[in-house]
This record gives sequence, C-alpha cells and structure tokens, in this order.
Amino acid sequence: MLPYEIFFFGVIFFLGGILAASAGIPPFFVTAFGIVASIFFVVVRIRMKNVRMTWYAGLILFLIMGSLYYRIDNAQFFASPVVFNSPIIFSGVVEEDPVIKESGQEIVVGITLPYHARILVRLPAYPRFAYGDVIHGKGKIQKPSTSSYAHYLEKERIRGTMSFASVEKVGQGSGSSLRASLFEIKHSIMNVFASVLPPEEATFLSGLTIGARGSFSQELKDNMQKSGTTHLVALSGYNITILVSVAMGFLLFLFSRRIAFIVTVILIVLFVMMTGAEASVVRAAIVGFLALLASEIGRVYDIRNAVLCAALIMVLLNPKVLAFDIGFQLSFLALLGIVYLRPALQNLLNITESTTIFSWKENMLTTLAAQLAVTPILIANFGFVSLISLFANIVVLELIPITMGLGFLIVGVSLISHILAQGLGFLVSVFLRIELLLISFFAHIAIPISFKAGVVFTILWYVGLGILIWHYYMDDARRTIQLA
Amino acid sequence: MMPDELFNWLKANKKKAIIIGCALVIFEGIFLVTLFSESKTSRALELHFFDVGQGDSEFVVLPGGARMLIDGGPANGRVMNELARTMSQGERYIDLVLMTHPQLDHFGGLIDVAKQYTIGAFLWSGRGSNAPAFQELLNELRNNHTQMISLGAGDSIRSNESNITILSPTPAFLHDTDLNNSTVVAEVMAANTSALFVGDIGTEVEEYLTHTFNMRADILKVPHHGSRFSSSESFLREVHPKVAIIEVGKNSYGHPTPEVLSRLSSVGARILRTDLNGAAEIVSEGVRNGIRLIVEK
Repeated sequence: MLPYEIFFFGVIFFLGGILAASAGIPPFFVTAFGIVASIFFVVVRIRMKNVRMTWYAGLILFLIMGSLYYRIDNAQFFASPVVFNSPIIFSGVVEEDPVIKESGQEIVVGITLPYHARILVRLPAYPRFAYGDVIHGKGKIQKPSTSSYAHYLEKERIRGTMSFASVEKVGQGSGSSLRASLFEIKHSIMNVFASVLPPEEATFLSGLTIGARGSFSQELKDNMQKSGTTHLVALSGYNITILVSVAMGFLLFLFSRRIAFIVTVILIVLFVMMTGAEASVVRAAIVGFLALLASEIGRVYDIRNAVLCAALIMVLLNPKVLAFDIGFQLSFLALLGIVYLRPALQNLLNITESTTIFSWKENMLTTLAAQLAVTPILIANFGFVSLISLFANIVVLELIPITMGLGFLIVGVSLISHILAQGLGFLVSVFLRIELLLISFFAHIAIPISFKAGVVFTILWYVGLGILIWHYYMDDARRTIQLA
Repeated sequence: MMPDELFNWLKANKKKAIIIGCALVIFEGIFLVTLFSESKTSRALELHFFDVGQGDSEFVVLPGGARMLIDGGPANGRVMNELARTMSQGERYIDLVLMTHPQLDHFGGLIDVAKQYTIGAFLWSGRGSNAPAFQELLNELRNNHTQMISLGAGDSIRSNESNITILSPTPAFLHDTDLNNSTVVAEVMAANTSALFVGDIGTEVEEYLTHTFNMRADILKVPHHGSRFSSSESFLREVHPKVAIIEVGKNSYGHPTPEVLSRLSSVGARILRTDLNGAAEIVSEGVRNGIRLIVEK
C-alpha cells in the first residue's frame, strides 16, 4: 500500500471512531468491532493472499483510537464540576469577540472562579464588553434547553448559559494581544461599512467579506435560509482564493516566491483568526494552504487527501465538530460535491463551460452539485430543502464577486478618503440592494419541501450519488483508454 | 468569476474595460455632485413615527428641510434602519436630536445614532442617569464634540415659519421622583399643523399642561406607550387630536391599555399603533391640502 493510501484509510478509520463515539456507541463495542474486523482482514489475507488486507487489519486500530480520543476529550471537557441553577459569584475573562444582537449582546466567558468552565452570558446591549475584559459577576448557570443546543454548545466548549446576570468589568487586555488587534481590524472594517451604507446592507456586506453575521436581522436569516443562500455569508474557499490571489499577486512584485508564500500563509492564518475561525473558513484555509504548499515544494496536489487532512486537523483540535458542527458537515460535503459530483453532473447534463463574462452555467452546476451533496444534512437539521435555491444562487452568485471586490475596495479607499469611500458605497449599495431584493423575492416564492429523513434515506441518497460519480469516472477512464 | 479571471477578461476586452472604468468615474462624479448640491426644500411638514419596538422614536422634517429626531427607541438597532429608510443614502447629518428623558426605551438607540450621524445639537432636559448605557451616550456625544443644550418649559426653537415650543419640564417636574415626569414636552407648529410630543408624562404633568396652555393639537404622540396612568380623559378632551399615535412593541406592561384605547376613541381620534400598523408617516402641506397619512406594514 502506498503512503498516501495508508494516510487515507488511517484517517477514514480514525474519523469513523470519532463518529461512533459521538453517536454514543461505548468504546467497548467499538474496540470489539475493531478486533473482530481486524481478525476478519487477517483471515482474508491468509486465504486470498491479498497484502492490502494486512494493512486494513492494522489500520483499523485507528477506529479504536478515534473512539478513545473522543472519550478522553469528552472526559476533560466535563472534568470541572459545574453547579447548575444555583446562584454563584464568579470571575472570568471574555474569551471571544462579543456578538451584538437586536436583543443585546452575548459574551463567552472563561470563568476561573469558583470553577473552571466556559459559559455563554446574555447581557443587555450596554455597557459593551470586549474580548479580553476581566469581569466579576453574579448569576445562575443554566443547562442548555435541548440536546441539539447542548451539543452545539459542547462543540463551542461551553458548559452552560447565563441570563439576567449582573456583570461588572474590572479589567481589560487579558486575552491575546494578537487576537485583540485582529478583532479591532474586524470592527474597523464593519464600522467603515456602517459609515457608508444603510444598516442592513452594511451587515450583509460584513457577512459577505468577513463572515460577521451576528447582527443579521431574523428576517434576513429566514430569507437566506428559505432561498438557500445562507452559504454566501459563511466564509469559504471563495474568500480564501480571493485573499490568496490578491496577496500572492501583490507580494510577488516585492519579494521572492518563497517569501511571498510564507507571508501569504501568515495572512491566511490572521484572516481566519480575525473572522472567528468558523468551520468553513478553517477548512478552506487548510485545503488552500495544502494546495499552495504542494505547488511550492513541487509535489502533486491530491484534493482527496487535502480534504481529509483538513478534516483530521480540525477533528484533532476539537473532536466534537465532526458530529455537532453543521457548518463543518456542510462545508466538507459541499466541497466533495463540487470536486467529485460536479464533473459527473456536467457530463450527465451535457453542459459546456461558458466563455462570456457571465458564468451562470458554472454557478448552476456548482450550486446543484453542492446542494445535492448537502441535502440530507439540510433536511436533518432544518427539516426542509429549498427547491428555489438553484435559481436563487444562479442569479445572486453573478453579483457576489463584484460586490465583494467593491467591499474590499471601500475598506482600502476609506484609508485615503471617506468621501470617495462613500461614493463607492453608493455603487456597491446598488448591488447589495439587488441581492437583498432577490434573496427576499426567492424566499417569498420558495415552497419549502419539508419531510423527515432518517438514516436509511441518508444512506440511500449518498449511495445514489456514489453510483453516479463512480459511473462517470468509470466512463471517463474507459474514454481515456480508448483515446490512448 | 474569480478576481484573476475578471482581470484576464478585462485584459482581453480592453475596450469594454475602458468603458467600465469610465462608467465608474462618471458614477463617482455624479455621486459627489449630488452629495454636495443642495437638497430640494419642501414646504411640507413631515412627521415620522418609527417602529422601534417597545420604545419611542419620532423624526420631524420641518418645512425648509430642518430635521429633528425625537428619542431613538431601545438599543436594538431599529432606529438606524428607520433613519436609513427615511433619509436619502449618503446623508449623515441630523440638525437636532431631542432626548425626552433618560430611559433606555427612549435613548438606547441614540448611541448608534451618535456613532453614525453628525448631530447639529443634542437637546435634553439636563437630567441624566447613572445607567451605563447613558454614560456610553454621553461619551459618544463628548467624543464627537456635539453641542448639548438643556431645555425646559418656556424655551422655543424657530426655523423659518416653524416653531417648536417646549412646554415642560418645569424646574419642579425636572427633579420629580418619577423620571417620566421630567420628560421634555415639545409642541411642533408648522404648515398650519400642530403636533404634540409628550414622551412618558403622567397625569400630573398632563394636568399642569391643560391648566397652563391651550393644548389643542392635530396630532398627538400618545404618552407612555398607552399606559393607563397617562392620557387622562381631561387631557385628551383638551388636546382633541385628529390622529393619535401609540408607539409600542411587545411588552409585559399591557401597553396600550384598553382604558386608554377607549378614551382615545371617545374623543374621536384616529388611532395608529406601531405594533399593529408599523411605522407611520404624516405629511401636512397646510390647511388647504389637509393631512396626508401614510401607514406602513
């Protein structure tokens, strides 16, 4: 077995172990299953004299390791005894950039007294708190109300929530100074947008460019969900590609290739940290970094292993993302859909790439591939799929690149002149208005198809997609042989 | 299309690229000309009653174009959306901002307004509050060097033919134990129309007003979101409004109370509620053209 295959199967088994543990399957069963499977592979190896089976027999140990890794992480997370629904006096530090909502602000506090835990505190809009603030407070920690919310909070490493707390700031600057500076840059960008655009357009542009969507109105969130356009404001490979192409292009003028590469990588890391490191952007950054690295050191870039490597790194850092982070699942499945399903669909529908400035065919194919890849996840989490999303995306995606480009230009120009930035704001506003109008329009005409999808549906769905992809690649291989 | 693809396309289509570039420059030019040219002045009085949830926020445009924001609702960002909807894009100047009294459902939204808009003068009673949010508002105003003017009963503001008269608070009401009674009460007289903005005043202030002034008005911003401790029968009889606007949102106080709604009906006022009707706009061009009522939702 070749090294990249060993890596591939090792990671697959490890992630399988994590998934099993996330689903609550006890380590004993996973271990027993691992041992039985291992014996099975050894027997097959002996009977059929297939060397690969020896590898499988060994690599399946990663399944057990994955399960144990999750268990250890879980035990550490719940190690500190938190007392719920009982008044406490606490001290702690604000560990994330506060989220400002219509109803007030939400701060994540790493409390150090009376015990160590991260909690989510909901407070009135004022006084504002900032990352790194040291606080004293009084209140009751509540358990999350539903199991899905509990899982979401666990993924964020949060033990409980606190409302109606009285909190006082007693110090500041306790966090990392690098993160504090990055959050300041993020706020400056948001302030620039707010100073040249109406509030709704400014928040939408902040979402598009730096993924800041905390202050989105409920109406906008609902509209985006109904029209299947929420992904526009989740940072992804698209933003990273823009960042890389602009940064590399600029830096290559000034420095050697090696230095330009290193600086670009640092910029990606800083961008990810600034935007709050949500799953989709971390995934995109790792995959993007591996692509850059492969071209830098002259190795073949294998997208399959790059995606798996990204998943492995993220799961090692936080094993709960695999099962409990919808963003993580959507991001990876959409990427796999675009990489593997898109060419199959293109072939099936007999679509040729367009040569004009408009790329509606490409957008349609990409959306269809990504949408089909994530459908079971959408149904499982939101209870419906939006059939209109294909049309909504074809239309809206045409305008997004220029909107984002103008957004970044506004930030740059505002450093020179506010009036000029206002002029650009006027222009980008036209695009933003059209986009918001389209999102609202498609949300209103959307007929959400709601139904419940169980495990069987999900398995059948992915088996179907798998067959479609397999069929395409078999055909493709046959054609290649014929041509040769 | 990714930026590098766009760049390549522009390189391959130089003529089109030049046209797009010129269009951008012309667009910027038009924007700058419109920004600096004087805005058209209207002879009408515009009164906007913003839908800001449970709180008050009104926006007055006097004949001639002078603009006054009265209160900013709670700190939920909704006043910003309403202002953006009402003013044209790029306009970030408000002549006067009046805070009736320092309660969060009246001044919370003003913090964002002070951050994003240039304010000609900030008008208030001079009575503040120790609430952290109020300190935040003061800091914002001080940082921007906004002029702050305290007003009380007897003061007035003139703009062309329009008049804004301050009817309350008297020094006694200014220091009243009930903060609601320290409300700055303003009567706007313009385009032959009168409108009363009374914040959260209670019956004591209402009694004082009816005994001291001729309170008749075409339009009344109903006191205290329709609380039963305001809008007494005698007060409403004296004001006798044609239109009564209740600025109210989801709340646990039972606002607006059935008592107030029935008292308003009994004086024949047309009742508008921001929780049911959304934001309301009243345009008056004087007696000849009457009052135009625009209700949104």
